[in-house]
Amino acid sequence: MQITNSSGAAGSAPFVEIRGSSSILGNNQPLYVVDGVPIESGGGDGTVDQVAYSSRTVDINPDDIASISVLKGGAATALYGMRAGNGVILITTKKGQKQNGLSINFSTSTKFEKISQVPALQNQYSQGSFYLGAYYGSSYMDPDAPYYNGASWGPALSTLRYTTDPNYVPADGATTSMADYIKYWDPNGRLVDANSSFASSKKAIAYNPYDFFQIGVAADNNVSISGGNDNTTFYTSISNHTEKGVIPLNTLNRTTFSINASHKAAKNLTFSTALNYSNTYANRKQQGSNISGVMLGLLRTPPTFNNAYGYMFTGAYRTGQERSYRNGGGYDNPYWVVNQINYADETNRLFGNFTAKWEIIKDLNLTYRSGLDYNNYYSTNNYAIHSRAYPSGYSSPLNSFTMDLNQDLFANYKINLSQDIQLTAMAGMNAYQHRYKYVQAEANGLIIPGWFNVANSSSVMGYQGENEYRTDALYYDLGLSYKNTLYLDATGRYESSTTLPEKNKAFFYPSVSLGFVFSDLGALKNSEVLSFGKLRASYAVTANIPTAYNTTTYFVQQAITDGWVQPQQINFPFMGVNGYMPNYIMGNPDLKPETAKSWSIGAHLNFWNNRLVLDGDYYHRINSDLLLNVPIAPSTGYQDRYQNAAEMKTTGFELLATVEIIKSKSVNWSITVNWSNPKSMVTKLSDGVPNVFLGGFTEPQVRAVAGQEYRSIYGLDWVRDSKGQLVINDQPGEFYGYPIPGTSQIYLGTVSPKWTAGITNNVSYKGFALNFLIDIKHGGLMWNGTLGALDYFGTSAETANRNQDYVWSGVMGHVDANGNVVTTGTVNTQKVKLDENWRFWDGYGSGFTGPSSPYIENSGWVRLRSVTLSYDFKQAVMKNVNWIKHCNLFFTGYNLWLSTPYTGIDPETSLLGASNAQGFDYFNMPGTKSYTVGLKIGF
Amino acid sequence: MKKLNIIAISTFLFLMFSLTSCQKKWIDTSMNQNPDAITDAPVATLLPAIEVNMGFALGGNDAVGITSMFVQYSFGTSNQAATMGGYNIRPADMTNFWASMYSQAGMMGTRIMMQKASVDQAPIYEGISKVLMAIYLGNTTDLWGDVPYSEAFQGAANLQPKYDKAQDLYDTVQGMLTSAISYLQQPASGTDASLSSSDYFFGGDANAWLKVAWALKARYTLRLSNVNTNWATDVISIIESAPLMSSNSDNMALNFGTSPTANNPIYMYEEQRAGYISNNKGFFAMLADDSLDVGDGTYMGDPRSLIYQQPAGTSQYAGLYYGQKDSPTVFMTYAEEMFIAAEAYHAAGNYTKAMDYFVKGMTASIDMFKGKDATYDANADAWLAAKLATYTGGADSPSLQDILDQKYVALYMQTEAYNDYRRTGYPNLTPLNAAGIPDRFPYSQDELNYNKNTPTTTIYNKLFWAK
Repeated sequence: MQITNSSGAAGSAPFVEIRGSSSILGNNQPLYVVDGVPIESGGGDGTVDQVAYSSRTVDINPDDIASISVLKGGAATALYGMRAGNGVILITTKKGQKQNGLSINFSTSTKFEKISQVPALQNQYSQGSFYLGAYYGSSYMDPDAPYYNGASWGPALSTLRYTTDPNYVPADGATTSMADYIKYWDPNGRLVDANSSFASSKKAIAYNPYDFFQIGVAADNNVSISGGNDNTTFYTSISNHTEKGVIPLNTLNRTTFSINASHKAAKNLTFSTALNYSNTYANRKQQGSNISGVMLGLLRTPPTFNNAYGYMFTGAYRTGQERSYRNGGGYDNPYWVVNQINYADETNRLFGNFTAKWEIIKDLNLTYRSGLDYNNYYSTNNYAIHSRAYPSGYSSPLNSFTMDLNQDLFANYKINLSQDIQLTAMAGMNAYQHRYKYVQAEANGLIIPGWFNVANSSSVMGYQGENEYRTDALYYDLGLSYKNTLYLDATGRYESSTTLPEKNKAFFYPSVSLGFVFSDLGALKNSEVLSFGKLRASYAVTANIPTAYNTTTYFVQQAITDGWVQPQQINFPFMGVNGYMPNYIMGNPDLKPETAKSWSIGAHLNFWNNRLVLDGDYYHRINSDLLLNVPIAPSTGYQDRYQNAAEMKTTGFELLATVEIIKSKSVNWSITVNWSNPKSMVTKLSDGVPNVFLGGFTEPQVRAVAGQEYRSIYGLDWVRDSKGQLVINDQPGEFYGYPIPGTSQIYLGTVSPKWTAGITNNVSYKGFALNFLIDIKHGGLMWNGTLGALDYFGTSAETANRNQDYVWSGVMGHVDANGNVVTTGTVNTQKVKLDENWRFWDGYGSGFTGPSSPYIENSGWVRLRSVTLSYDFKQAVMKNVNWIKHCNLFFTGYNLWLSTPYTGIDPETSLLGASNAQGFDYFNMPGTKSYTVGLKIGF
Repeated sequence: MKKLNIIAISTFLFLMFSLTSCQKKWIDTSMNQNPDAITDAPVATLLPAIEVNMGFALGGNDAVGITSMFVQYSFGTSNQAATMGGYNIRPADMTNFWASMYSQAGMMGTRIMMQKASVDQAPIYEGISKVLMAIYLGNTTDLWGDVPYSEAFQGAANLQPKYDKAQDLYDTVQGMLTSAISYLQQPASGTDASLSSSDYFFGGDANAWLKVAWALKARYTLRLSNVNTNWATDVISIIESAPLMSSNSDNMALNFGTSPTANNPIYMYEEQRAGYISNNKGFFAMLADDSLDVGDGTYMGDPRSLIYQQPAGTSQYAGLYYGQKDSPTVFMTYAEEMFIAAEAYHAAGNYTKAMDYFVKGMTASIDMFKGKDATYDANADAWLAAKLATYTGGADSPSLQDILDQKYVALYMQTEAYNDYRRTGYPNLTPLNAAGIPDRFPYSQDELNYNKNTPTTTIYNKLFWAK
């Protein structure tokens, strides 16, 4: 199972995959099932310019969870239907028990969080540009510069000094006196050349943009009460999580309440019900590539500008407008982003179930379970006037609800067919409905500053939409066991969905699995070495349905924009008149469900009574008829068509080993290692579809390509010779001695890792327990788009070498008029400079001007994901205190140590959140490490 | 055992029965129609989207924005604009623009509207759709040469439309315009009444559209001046017999609005990408050089520079007329038609008439920009009179180059200037670097990826009508 946290922002969504990927555009994440009822766990997707959203897994109170198990492979998931095609995470919540009196549990913890690794920045050169032969800087430094230069290719800080000479009046027309200048721009004064007659002795300061981040604090408190007698049990809990993130003003609060009760109404009739309510509200801040992302402004800021000195002009100069190093152009000052732009959302969620179980006769019972998952989501996205993305201001409220109703009626039966053979049978039916509706308003242009309300605009657009579909199914599970040695299990599910066309709406998918416990046979029966050994094999078919409303082509009321001015756009009604156009996606009346056929073989071996446990599986899965929005040539009149268009093969091993190294009364030490290497290959794409764009930019892109591993990165590379060496330009001219950029996008590698592993150590000594988890990801590439941009602007640490000689390693050559590489094979010795011209103006030395291949980096890691030290007071010192049932104090550190070749932020990141386009880092928020201290006590 | 079996069997039967009897009603695939979307739209709602898309895409940053850098009206100062302005333009840069031309409210929507207008028997709608289709197709082939058309717009029925030859496509455009002209002359039907609000360009005025259709015919005849020996005669016959534009109120222009979701695309660009594109110093130096006595010994360069240049303290490189929130994007002007006529008469040897239309063209251009700047309004006419006085008549004054140089100044911020430059080599531009000014746009990366019939070309493959 692979989990990727998408961001260090409070409330961001994790992306979970079990046994690799199964779908290209659809959902690859597993189904979450709570007490037998599947719940909504989606959300958490992003586009390249949004905030990190939560997925709905954030609504579950972790303190209510009694156990989590992962169901893999087709056999287990055939029982939960099509949504379980990617695996199931089974969560069982705590219940009450028969006992004397009440159990009261209280837990509290506090977490301190700070950012982990960040891109290195240079602190030697100031704002401006040297290329044009004259110092062409920023108006606040150089009165002759016509505009505020966006780059940091200016003079070296060592050659600059401050001046506060009241007679040195800036001629830029903006500020009228040195006093004004100091008030608006820099309290230290204006920067001038050290040899200037106005220079003081005060050297130029390099400000550190990373001072922007703060220590995040989160507090968790939970109280639960449970109890019961022979007939009735109950469990109830209330919890609160309050969090301030490492980004100022990024907050998340969640309160949950749950109640779980069961009652035995008659000897053979039991009712139980569970209700969970959670309220989550968050204030989120922008990341990524749009104009108003925090990291964009933060990392491009030249060392000589201090963002913290103020984000808004409050005096006479440009009152109310933004103070940034571009003076109103470029990107927002990050302090402006967190103070003036807010994405607030509140979710109220209720999920639960009602279950009735009737024991008809011994070994035959009937269960009815009805589950509800309802949530209401309300969000407002607000931009203050003068924000760069919406200079006139913007406010958009959205109100939506999702309601899922899931009903199951099933019977269980058990019978001994003979002394050695036992049969267990289960059969049932399921009906499921999903409904989603939303209403949204968008006010583009606010009149009264500071009031974020759709009434405060003269241009308001309204949107409404919905999504509804139903499924139903008949299912069975038959198990035969022979002498507790041989097991045979067969399942089947016959399911229909409204999202398929009438002719294809029903589908049947079976599975069969075999288990053989060989440790009880013959000579092995009383073996001291092998305590338990089981071999297993299974074959299963599962399916996946299309999303709703894809069988028809629609007309839409769509905003008009282009790639340059987004998010600005033209809305209809335009000048009072409404307009519709054909949708860019074609409907498809021939849709079929996706199917997955998988088989696996494995073994579970237990030696010396649990001293060594080995468990392993090999699995092979083919996903066919995968549903994709296939891009098509726009000259067909459409841009995409939703169709069954691909086939993918995933294979891999999953291995687990647990060793109890020391086992004694006072000291215990065990190590568990797990290792998996899912490899997903796209085996076929339908005719006319050479590849599918999964996400990213124009260059590079993450694509699904026939014959390649899933999630392939395509982009431009330097021209290379047949041996793969760089070809260094041997033609006289500007680029003599530099590499040559390629012109067509090629395969640069895959995002998916080669293997992942985890090592868990559990040590206990008397009352102390130490547990630490080392997480390893080997291989996998990520596009460091941030570095590509910072090289362009001259703020990255590697551009500090701009005045030094550099020799590219490669062979001399060039590309001829026919596009062929011509090389003499001579090793390059030409010294060149990686200066402003190479990076910014005419050259190819950055992510904007040249190929992206230099910025595709290995994103593997070894990290100390968690360390927990806990002390069990009860066992150690309170053994005889009966009214305290348990008492633990714990300290946990997350992500305390990270080793990775990736040079940007923590590579466990995803620009696009929990979506299929993993592998992009373009001004993503940095990762974090944290320290938690907590206490759990039970009465 | 028996009792057990009976209970077990009856339980299973109960389950089967309950489910199958419900299934038909529960799984109703007709609920797979999105109740919040429409599968059909009347022509009165299609036309506005098509017109705004034309204004935004054809008059916006991917068309005018780029060609203006190529013909040196503007200069790419930084980031992607500098890259493209330096002639480094790639298929990946064309994806949004090409998609706006072909899908949704581009030619796909126009085609649907044409078919609906025919079914609804609304001749004015049908005429207007044909004019708009001719503009879309004409501009597409002007920029890209061979493009799909006859096999295009079929969706899944033809995923690999073939690329028609540009020569044939100009014939298609002319045919489309002729057909449009015939429809526009028919009496309006009841459905056509909605044009008064749905047509942003002319409010459904069939005569205005007729003039535009004839002007477009003249433009596309002129386009083939290097390959069609009869071109001048054909243009002259249009000028002498067809309804012509006679003032700037006949211009085909889409006016944008001041509300933030109705702004001109060039203005939006200037706001979101401030500093990426700026005025071209060479162009404005040339305008300043054209310094003439506007009276009392005061000398003034071409006054249009006051309108065209970036207002002080702003980033609006397209100036007062083309770069403001509510600026129009322009598709056919009275001035252009007059210059077309001047060039045709000049080629035919009728220098008197050539001068006549040349004067009309220059006057039209000067008049177009009045009302924006007081100094301009005060002096433009005087400058114009002085300028026209420098032309004495005959083959050389104005010469072909003079006509095209002045047409170039008049067509500021229009893509037609790029077409004229490729066709005639005028004005005399010095490329920014050794690569040279591109002869066409590259095909969209989406076509290269998904349509195997896309030809392999470079941006330096001249089009068949270029010089």
